[in-house]
Amino acid sequence: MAYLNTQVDVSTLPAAEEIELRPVHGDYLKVLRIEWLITTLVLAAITGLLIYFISGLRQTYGWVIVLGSFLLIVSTWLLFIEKSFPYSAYAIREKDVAYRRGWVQRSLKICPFNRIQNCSVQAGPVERRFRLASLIVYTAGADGADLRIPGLEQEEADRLRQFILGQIHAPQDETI
Amino acid sequence: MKPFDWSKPQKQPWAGLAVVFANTLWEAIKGLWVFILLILLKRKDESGPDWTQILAIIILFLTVVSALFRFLFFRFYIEEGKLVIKKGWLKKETKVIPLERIQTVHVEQGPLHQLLSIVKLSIDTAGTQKTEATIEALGKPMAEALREELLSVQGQENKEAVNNSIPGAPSITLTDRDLLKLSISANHLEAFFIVFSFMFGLYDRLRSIDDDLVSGVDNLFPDKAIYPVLFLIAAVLMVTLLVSTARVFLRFYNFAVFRVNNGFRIRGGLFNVKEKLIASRKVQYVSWRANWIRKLMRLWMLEYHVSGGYEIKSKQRVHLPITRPAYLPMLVADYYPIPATGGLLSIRVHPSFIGRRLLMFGVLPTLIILPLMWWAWGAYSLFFLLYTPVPGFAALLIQKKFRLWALDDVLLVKRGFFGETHILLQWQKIQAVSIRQSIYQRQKGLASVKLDTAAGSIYIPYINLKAARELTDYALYKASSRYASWL
Repeated sequence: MAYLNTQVDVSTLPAAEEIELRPVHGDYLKVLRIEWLITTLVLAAITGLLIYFISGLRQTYGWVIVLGSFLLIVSTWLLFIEKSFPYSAYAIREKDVAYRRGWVQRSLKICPFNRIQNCSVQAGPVERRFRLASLIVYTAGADGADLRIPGLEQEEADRLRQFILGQIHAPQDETI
Repeated sequence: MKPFDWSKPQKQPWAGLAVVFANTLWEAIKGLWVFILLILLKRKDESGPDWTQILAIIILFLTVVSALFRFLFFRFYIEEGKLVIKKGWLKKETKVIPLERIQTVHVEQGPLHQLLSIVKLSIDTAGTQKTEATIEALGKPMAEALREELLSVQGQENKEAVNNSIPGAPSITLTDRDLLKLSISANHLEAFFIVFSFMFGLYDRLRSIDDDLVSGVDNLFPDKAIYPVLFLIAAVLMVTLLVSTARVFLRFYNFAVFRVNNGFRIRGGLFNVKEKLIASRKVQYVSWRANWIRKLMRLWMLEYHVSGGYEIKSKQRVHLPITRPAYLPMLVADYYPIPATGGLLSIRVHPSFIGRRLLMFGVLPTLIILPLMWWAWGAYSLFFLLYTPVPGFAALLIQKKFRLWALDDVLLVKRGFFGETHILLQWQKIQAVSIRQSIYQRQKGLASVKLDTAAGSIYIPYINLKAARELTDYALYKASSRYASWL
């Protein structure tokens, strides 16, 4: 109660920091690595073509810059994948759904069932090979307020989707 | 007013053809302007045919044909509680909008509409997808009747425009003096830089094309280096003032706010008269702001942040100039009365925010960019050092001014650097909450909070972690409450 001017004692409310979060499936790290590898190969091909065809790059030190920035981007990306993976976790509480992520900048995003408009399950080609899927929760929020939980087992994702749809089925007093 | 039979396919009135033609022509010019410019600039070849005329005739002909098709194949009708709009000849397009999904119907009049005494109707729906529709031209009585019909399906409590056809005495209007005050206090700095860079670029280009043209200006001043610049600045100041005045008059001429059953009806504009309905329940949060001149003059610009993709595009945002202090609490109270904050606990931005901003947006970019600039421009690049402290200075002002009051039903934020912005948000309008921490914030026990609403997000930087957690918990508690509706 040190910061809010509310009659409800905030310390009695369910606290976001005490949520028991479940880590996403371990195979999801493999998915991320494979996706990283594919993108890296494509980028490497583009970089190679650039250096091969633009002769100006080879005569000056331009190729060092191109190659250097390629390596920098790719390695930083991998570092972020490896470092942030252990922190990725989700939770379904009584009245909301939460997802935690990040490494340098960590975030915990929580969305009440009350505000969820729709809910879907998506799986990319690599995810499907590992029988994984992402759960996407849509809200009416304007800029990127949707919640995406990746790295769930397909059955788990479907189950969660059913559960959340069941939770949101009753709009209280509006028809929309 | 004779009753209309909406179940039969309706055409637009013939006067609408002019509007459709004008729109088509405008689109054609927008699409082909490079081509047109190229042809126009080409020196006339004595022997060959006059391409300018041929081109003009072709474009005009195609435009007339295309506009005619657009006009003739446009139909709309109401069928089984749905508005159906059909258009197109070769590529047919049908839009079906269930009436209960219609949120608001806006009426708009451009100069051509005014001349022909017709109106344009835009229909806004609650969907996240792009389901808006427009009817380019309608006679005034027909438009009123259609609006009535479109909104009549909704329940009495949802109906936004019950007494629409009888606008009462306007609640708020602007006098010419108010408009002048608004013009003088407009954000000149922004307009100034736009006009200045434009004119400077023009001056430079003219000089490179034709030295004689600008030598007139240059000869006015003996010292060539500095005086033309001063002259430019003076000229730009004049133009800026004129531009600001014109912008204010274009937007707010004949401005009036009427109270209707569940919201406001706002109209205004000089050539392009716009009329909008703001349903109170659709308002997600309210903000009012003033730059430092306006703060001194006690002028505020109030904004209702409304849900729906249509409104979020800045063109459609709803600004209400407040010229009398008494209007502000009155208009905000429609959303929620402005709470008194005296003696209440407030959440403030942590002072380390200043240093971090200086480091991340001032010092770091300087360390990266300065060596590169040095390599390219030598000692001139030291001018870049003037920029380095700016983010820190801005952060200092932001940190000093920021206040957040968390109350039972609402959240009030006061922030700004030269000016001041107030934001009033009801907890129940929140869609999602994020709590974020960088490495530095984790060490210092700080966090940032982002509150997402259907009309945009509110970002609260660098507050105490405990305060951030309390905000998050309380926001979720209020949003999850059974009776809390956001629409």
